[in-house]
Amino acid sequence: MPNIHDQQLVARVSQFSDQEAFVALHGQYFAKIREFLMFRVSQKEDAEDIANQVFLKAWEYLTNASAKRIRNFRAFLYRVARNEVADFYRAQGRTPVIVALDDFEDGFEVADTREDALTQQLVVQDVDHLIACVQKLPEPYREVIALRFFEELEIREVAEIIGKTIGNTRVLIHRGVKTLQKMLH
Amino acid sequence: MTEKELIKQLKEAKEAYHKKFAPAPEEAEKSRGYVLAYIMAHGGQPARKLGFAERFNINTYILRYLVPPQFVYGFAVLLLLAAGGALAAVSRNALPGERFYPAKLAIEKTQMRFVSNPAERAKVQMDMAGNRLREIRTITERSGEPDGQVEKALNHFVQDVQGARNNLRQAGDPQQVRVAASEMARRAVQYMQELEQTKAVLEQKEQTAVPTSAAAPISPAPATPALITPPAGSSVKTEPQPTQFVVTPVPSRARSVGLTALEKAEKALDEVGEAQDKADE
Repeated sequence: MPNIHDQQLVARVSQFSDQEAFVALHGQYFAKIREFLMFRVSQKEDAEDIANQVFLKAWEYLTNASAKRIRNFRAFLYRVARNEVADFYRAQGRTPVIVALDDFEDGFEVADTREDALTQQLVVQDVDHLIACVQKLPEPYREVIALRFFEELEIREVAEIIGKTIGNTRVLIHRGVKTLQKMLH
Repeated sequence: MTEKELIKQLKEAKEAYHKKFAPAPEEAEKSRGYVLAYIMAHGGQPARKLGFAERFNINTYILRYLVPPQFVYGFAVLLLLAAGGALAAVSRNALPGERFYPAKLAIEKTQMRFVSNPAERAKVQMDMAGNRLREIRTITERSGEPDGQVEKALNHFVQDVQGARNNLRQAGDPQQVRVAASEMARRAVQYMQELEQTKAVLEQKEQTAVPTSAAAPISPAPATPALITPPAGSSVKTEPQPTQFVVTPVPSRARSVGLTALEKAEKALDEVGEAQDKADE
């Protein structure tokens, strides 16, 4: 459900280029976006730079008269953050490991065999361990699990962020959990 | 660990996730300064108090995005249905010459268009002719001058009966035509009786209303010549006579036209009877 307060601030920014309204939006979402980016890129400095870029892009988009209007600002920010992460990896000349989803029907295989051996011995004793395991999940699952369970977004919002249907997103989350389950055993 | 237990653990892990990845307060402040400097250099405006029109713009902007379009369409349809229902309720008892009478006729026509079978449509239109008769009864039961309302209702009655007969002609299935013609003929007999009663009431009204008709022209009576003309210079004075008025009775046009329309209506009903005879043949 779109947030009315956000919508008021977004309307002020898009119609009057109201900088205070935008700073209020920044204050509201910076920490969340920065956490998500930290989870994705692991380096503090990189996460910080990308977070700044996300908000600058958001400002450019909102003040662009010809841009499509935003219904859910939170989902919009996560989507921009996701694209910025992709650009970041592209610029670095490396990409997160993308594994075809069908490969996970019969079992999970980790690319790094040393990590694989370690993973098999893992027993979830504390939540840090669990988060570390989530970070080792293949890209499509890692992202949806983080957005759904850690960032507490609705499935509809997650679907909007990753650009898939609600049904596909539900399947991705389910497979991600299954894969995580196999990793933990 | 089952899938449910894992999901529960994932949900519980969010605290640790936020703790692990949360930025330091000074980092948020630094980012805020950076972003603010950028937006000030790229067209950012200080906040100001908004006028009524601006607030209205913002509220409509928000409303457009909070209310799903399906809801708007659904609401519009509901509104139309409610307006249609209200119009039907208000116009249900409307009489010819009244404001909502055309709406009543339009609603009846719309109802009739939903009936695809011509034989069924003929019966429905015959029912509508019955509505016209009820209107005539209401008008004639009222005291006072009908002001051509009876004539209008009778004209509509004739149109409905003729329309019903035309619909019957379009029907193809002989069985359906026979059933519909029999039903229409039965109604035609009823309507004929009601028309006879209406005619009697109208004639009675005409007879009782003529001597005191308010519509009759009033003219001064011709002056009567004085029987004794006093000689010139005579001191005898005659009393001034008060001007006398007489009422000239004229036939009521409205009633006479109404009676003509009654004859037309009777003729239309006769034709329905003939239609039944043909169907039986």
